[in-house]
Amino acid sequence: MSNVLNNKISHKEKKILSDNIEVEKININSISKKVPGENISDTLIASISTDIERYIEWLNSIELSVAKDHLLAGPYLSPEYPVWPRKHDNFHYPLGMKKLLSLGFTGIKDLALKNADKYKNNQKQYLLLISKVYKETIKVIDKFALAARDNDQSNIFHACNALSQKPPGTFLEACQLYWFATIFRIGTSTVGRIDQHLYPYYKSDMGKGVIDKVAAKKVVSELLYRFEERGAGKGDTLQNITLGGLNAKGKDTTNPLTYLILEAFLENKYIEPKINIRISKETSQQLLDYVADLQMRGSGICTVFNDDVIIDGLLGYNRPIEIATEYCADGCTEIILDGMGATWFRYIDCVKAIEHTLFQGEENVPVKKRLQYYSDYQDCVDVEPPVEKGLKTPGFLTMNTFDDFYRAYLSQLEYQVDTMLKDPFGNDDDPMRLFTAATMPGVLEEAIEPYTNSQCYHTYGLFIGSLGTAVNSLAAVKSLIYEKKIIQKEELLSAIRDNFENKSIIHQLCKKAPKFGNDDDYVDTIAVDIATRFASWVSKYKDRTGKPILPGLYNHLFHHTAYRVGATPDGRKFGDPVGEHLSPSPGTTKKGPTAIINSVCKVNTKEQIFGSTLHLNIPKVSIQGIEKPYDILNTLNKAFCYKGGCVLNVSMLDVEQLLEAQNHPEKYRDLVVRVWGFSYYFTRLSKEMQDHVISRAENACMD
Amino acid sequence: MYGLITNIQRFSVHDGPGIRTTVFLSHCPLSCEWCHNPETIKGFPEVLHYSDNCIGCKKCIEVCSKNCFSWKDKIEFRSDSCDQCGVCIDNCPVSALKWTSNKYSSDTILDEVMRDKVYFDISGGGITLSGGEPLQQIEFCYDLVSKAKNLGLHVTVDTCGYVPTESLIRIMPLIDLFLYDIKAVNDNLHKKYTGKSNAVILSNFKLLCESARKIIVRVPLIPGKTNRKENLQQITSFVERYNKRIEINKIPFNALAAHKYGMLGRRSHLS
Repeated sequence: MSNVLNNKISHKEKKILSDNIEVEKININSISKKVPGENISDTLIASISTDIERYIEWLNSIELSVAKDHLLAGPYLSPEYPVWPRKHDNFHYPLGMKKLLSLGFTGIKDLALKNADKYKNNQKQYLLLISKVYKETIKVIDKFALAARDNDQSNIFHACNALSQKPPGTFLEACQLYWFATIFRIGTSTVGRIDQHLYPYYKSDMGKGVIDKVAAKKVVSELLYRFEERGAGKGDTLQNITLGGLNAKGKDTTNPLTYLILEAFLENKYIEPKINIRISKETSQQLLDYVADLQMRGSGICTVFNDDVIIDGLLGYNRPIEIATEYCADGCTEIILDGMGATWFRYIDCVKAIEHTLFQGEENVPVKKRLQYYSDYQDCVDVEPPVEKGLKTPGFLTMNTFDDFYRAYLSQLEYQVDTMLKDPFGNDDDPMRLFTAATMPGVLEEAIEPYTNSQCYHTYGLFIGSLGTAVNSLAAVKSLIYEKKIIQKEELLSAIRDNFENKSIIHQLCKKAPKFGNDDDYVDTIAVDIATRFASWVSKYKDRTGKPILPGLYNHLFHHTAYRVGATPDGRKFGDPVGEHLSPSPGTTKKGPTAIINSVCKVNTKEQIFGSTLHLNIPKVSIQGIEKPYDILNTLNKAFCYKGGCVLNVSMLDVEQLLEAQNHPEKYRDLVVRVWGFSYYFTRLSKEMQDHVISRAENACMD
Repeated sequence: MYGLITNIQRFSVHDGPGIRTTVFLSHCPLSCEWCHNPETIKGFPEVLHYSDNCIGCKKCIEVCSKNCFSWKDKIEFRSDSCDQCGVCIDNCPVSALKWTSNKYSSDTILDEVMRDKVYFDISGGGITLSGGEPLQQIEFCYDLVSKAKNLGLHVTVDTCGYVPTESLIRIMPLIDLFLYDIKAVNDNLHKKYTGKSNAVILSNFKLLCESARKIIVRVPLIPGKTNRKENLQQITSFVERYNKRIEINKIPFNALAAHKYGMLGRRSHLS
């Protein structure tokens, strides 16, 4: 891959993208609200017509790279290339790759043209525009074919030539289509179930003897390397692939290509695309061993999804079995239905609700802070809670029982849910780019754009993260104020106002109160109760296609949450880390990974199906010197699934090493750690995020 | 039945096969100068000072009649004159002072242990009794182990071997694996390092071998002492005399234990 640097996508692209963003600003307010079944509006047509001209101009600017040592045509995309450019598409979903592979670029162009005859006005226009876009992509592919011929690259020539005339027929053609589609889409996104998309081609070629395993692996390695190159410097790129998983008949779909992809990934030591593996009771030991192998690398580059919980959970939210079994990881660990639609989410802050409960809906101290997004190369953003002010619930001093307090807390939370969901939300102001829209279910057939198309299965959701920290606060209030009665309400309020300054006794007592993640039912049952109530509040709301909104126990930017809530009754000071997702509060567990998993698995995550993730750090030192460390990881993975856990990401980092890396970054440039939906270089994280990762590693360090 | 327990440690992966929960029982007949669990030596609870939790309120100085506590920018704890009256523990507002060991019933312990049954079943793990010398509390051990067997648990005992032979004979059939410590075969050295003769340790080892119990021998590698080549060779040939297939694990010296001596208000012999 020596000439990678010469093959990056042209810089013109950047300019066009920034032009696009200008256009978006103009159009955002003019796009009318749509309801299911309504025909395509004039404003939508106007908006996408403008976009198409720019898009075609951009398509024609793609460098016709067919480098000698490459197996696939098309430029490598530069890491400097902007992540998720926001003009048409929010990029939080995979392309309808199965549809694209089966129809090919030509098939989509022809079908759109044919179906356009059945419709009138804007719907007709919509399909004609899709056809136009695909016609242009085919022209580009043709140009690649010619360039390959001129360059004596006969394999690439044949693949491009075939794709400009018909759907892919071989594994190489399918991989070539994959990369073209990735370029043509613009912007990074999740990739989806790549082993399922490409396996039929692999199987057929292997059967016919067209390709052997060695040759196939070279192609796979190059395809993966293209994702690695594009994403590796960026972190939160959304580039997720999801492997394995049950089908609608309950059979595991892991196939030889699944293993080939994992082999290529491990041998090349990539960190992109992010690996997500669906496991269940049917999963082979071979795949589980790959999971353990990836986890042993330490950096949290592999996330495990529990099919037994997630498929069942999706059925509970009216997703039919053949749709539910197509789920995959989206940008972080939220769930999306592969090729079926988009995702969009909002989140509420259950730690802020503790503050609202203590201060009658007001903030403790109004917090305004600017922090880097997550890395030192990024600009600062305002740190603001999703809901700044809560309900005016009764004063803390008047609450005579814990029930009073808990009831007030629940109303604060429900208020946040209602505030976030009362307006329908989704991508209504952000029409899907036609290249992508054409691959979504029902779009070509019904001439209805994806966001209101009832054949699409979008996953719109509401997240509640940092539950562990909120629950710890509730347990502290329950135990210290109402049961043991060793702290007075006035004392606690004033200690929290003062950020525990000069209140060391109260601070220590609060820190010692029971904590989530220690397999202690006293605390864990509160988490279970809140989660169930949250799910029932969210279930009142529907998305634009009439399907239920999905709840999930997840959050990103948790290191910002730490700076938008003052001190909390669990003994956390302002700025001290809060728990991420469904993980315990950093540094508060004392009984190790089994107790953490037990606590987390008490929560019914079938209801929290949008993604309820445990980030578990197992210090490398804790399993040093044992004969079969893989067996230990295998056990934790299996037990997590058996106990009904939803999503698990295991890192293996030592606190000492992280502290050393913070002090001597020059020695640890290649140290990669889990952030939220991605892993990233530790030394390039912002100080706040580094501190969070260090405290997370302190969990599972036992007394 | 109640036992004196210093700690119940879950996710124990170094004390027998698989994922285990290790129960540390208090009291040990030996006094190895390198002991890495000094809080488990005595047969009664002692006072532990957790300086990380200490807020320096000086309440302990005020209430202690034996002058165990002093102030030098922070609380200093010396336990030489401590008579375990417990007044300091009762008066510490933030639980920075605690007992080394507490009484636990076998049922309470097994409730905690059984929470990880799934992990034991998948990994081939179970419960390990360690210490201290667990078999020092033989009646309690017998009770705990009998109940553990009824619950289908794999039972490992980590022993120094310095126990009455009749205790061993009684409990032996219930134990799936012995982790058997041998520090030295030369009795003079053994006396020097541990304060006791190794005669009963070696004869008990012979008994276990003859009874075909599953054993893994453990040798703590103490620099300049047990890790000397001659000592290790003697241990190997002693073990092989009875069974050539017995695994011998050499356990690296755990220097991290030194801080525990400070918490106990003592100085480590090896610091």
